[in-house]
Amino acid sequence: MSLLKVENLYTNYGRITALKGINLELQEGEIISLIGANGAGKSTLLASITGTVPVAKGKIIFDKKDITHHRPNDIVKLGISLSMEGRGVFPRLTVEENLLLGAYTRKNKSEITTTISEMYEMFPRLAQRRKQLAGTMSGGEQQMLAIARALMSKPRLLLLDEPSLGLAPNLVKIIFDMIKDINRKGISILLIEQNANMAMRISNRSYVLENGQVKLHGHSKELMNNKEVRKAYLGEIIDPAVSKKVIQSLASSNL
Amino acid sequence: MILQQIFNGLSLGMAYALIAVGYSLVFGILRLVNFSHGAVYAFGAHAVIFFIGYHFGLIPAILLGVLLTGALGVLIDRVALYPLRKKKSPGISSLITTIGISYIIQNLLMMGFGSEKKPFPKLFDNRIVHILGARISTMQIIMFVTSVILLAILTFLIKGTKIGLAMRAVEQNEKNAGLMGINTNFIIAFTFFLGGISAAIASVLISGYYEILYPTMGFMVGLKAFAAAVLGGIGVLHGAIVGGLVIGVSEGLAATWFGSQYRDSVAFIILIIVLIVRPAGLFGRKGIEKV
Repeated sequence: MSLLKVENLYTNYGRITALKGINLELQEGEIISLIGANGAGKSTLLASITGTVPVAKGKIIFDKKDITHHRPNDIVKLGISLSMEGRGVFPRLTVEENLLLGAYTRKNKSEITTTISEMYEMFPRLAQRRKQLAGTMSGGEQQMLAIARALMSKPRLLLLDEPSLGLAPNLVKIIFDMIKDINRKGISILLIEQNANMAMRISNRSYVLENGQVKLHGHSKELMNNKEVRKAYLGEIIDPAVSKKVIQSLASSNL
Repeated sequence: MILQQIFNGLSLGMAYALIAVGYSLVFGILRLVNFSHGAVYAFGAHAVIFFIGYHFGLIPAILLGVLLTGALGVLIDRVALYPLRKKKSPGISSLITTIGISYIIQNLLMMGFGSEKKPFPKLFDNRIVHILGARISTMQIIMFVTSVILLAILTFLIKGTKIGLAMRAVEQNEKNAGLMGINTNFIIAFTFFLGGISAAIASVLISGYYEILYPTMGFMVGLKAFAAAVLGGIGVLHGAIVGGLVIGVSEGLAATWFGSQYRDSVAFIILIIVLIVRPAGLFGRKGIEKV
């Protein structure tokens, strides 16, 4: 069943048309990755879905409901949650207060407490720092907090904006393992990533955005073998002669 | 004599703190100096004598007047400031709007009540208590105690409740707060409501103390409370309280040392000195301006 459907979406960002007719579909239980260069429209698409940027034209359907012009707080209530890029946590609130805010739309206090302890189990680092101000933690810890906070609303669809941005490689792997775990618990995921390689490896399907349009989409495994995608997004140098030259110049530079 | 003026200053300063909190809360959330706050303060006492005039009895009249002033705060936000926010207009537009609103309220009060000074009814049978040789009226004690209780309630509301947590979240990042499911416009309106009711209560206390009220009474008191908020570090709740006390006490001492006609300027001299030493105020954070 299709959980999220974006139909012919146009969104303006100031005077610029940032999205020009995006079509996208996400099935319940899927991980979908959105890849594309800076300014391709990935973040604008998330902002349109969460209701923080007004949509100019087109439709966003979530669970058969038209949510195109809903306000952000109503969209959270319906079951869509966004984990913000990098430092989207509230810096002058404690870890625990940040988590409580993630559950703002929920009413039952004892259930919220249960979810908080689940989060501490999943992210033991956060349990150690529950009384610490979020802004004083490392980038990786803040990223974990952002994800945990997004899960506090018990979403059906989790939107992840650049979860690996600015993190050390070993942390990136930990975060991606967590994303897979979260998905196994039945939460559908829409993932934006600069690290296209990792994103495509864990997602079922991928959409490649360019200049506000979907350039390519399909099963991640197939797209990873697509020549264009490999060249543009997976950092592969296609021409063996060029790569040889690069290696030689590096070797002779005595680095 | 000095002790006397310190007691006078403490009770008046606590009432200033109540008004200063209104500036501080709104500034914290919107990064806006709400210059209509002084007029809202004046509106408070007038609303109360309006209800007293219609024989509501003292306590119901105070309650109604205070709530009505809270509603006025919300109305100002909804009618004049919310449309500006929605259009993402620059901060200076909101600032000039609040100055405009302050005069509109003042003129409406003049039309409704006349511009002359009117007596404010005695709230209590005023008795004098002697403490360490200083004479303190029951009104001063009531003013001090009521303000302390209200400020304690406000502090608890902001630090210890769900809506307070939401207020702090909106203060730190309005957009992200919305993404948590917080209705940010409701939180902003609620903040104006809190500012309105605390100003109205301060208004009743101060009018009851001087036993007088008039439409422009909010001008000087509003400026002093604003000075108190800045002195303590605007946007910081306990800063507003300490700021109010400093302004109140220095005003009292200035009255004894230099004569009461100079009391107003002393509050501002202190403000300027504090700001030169600590530009963000006593408890202010650096870099509070939103990017």
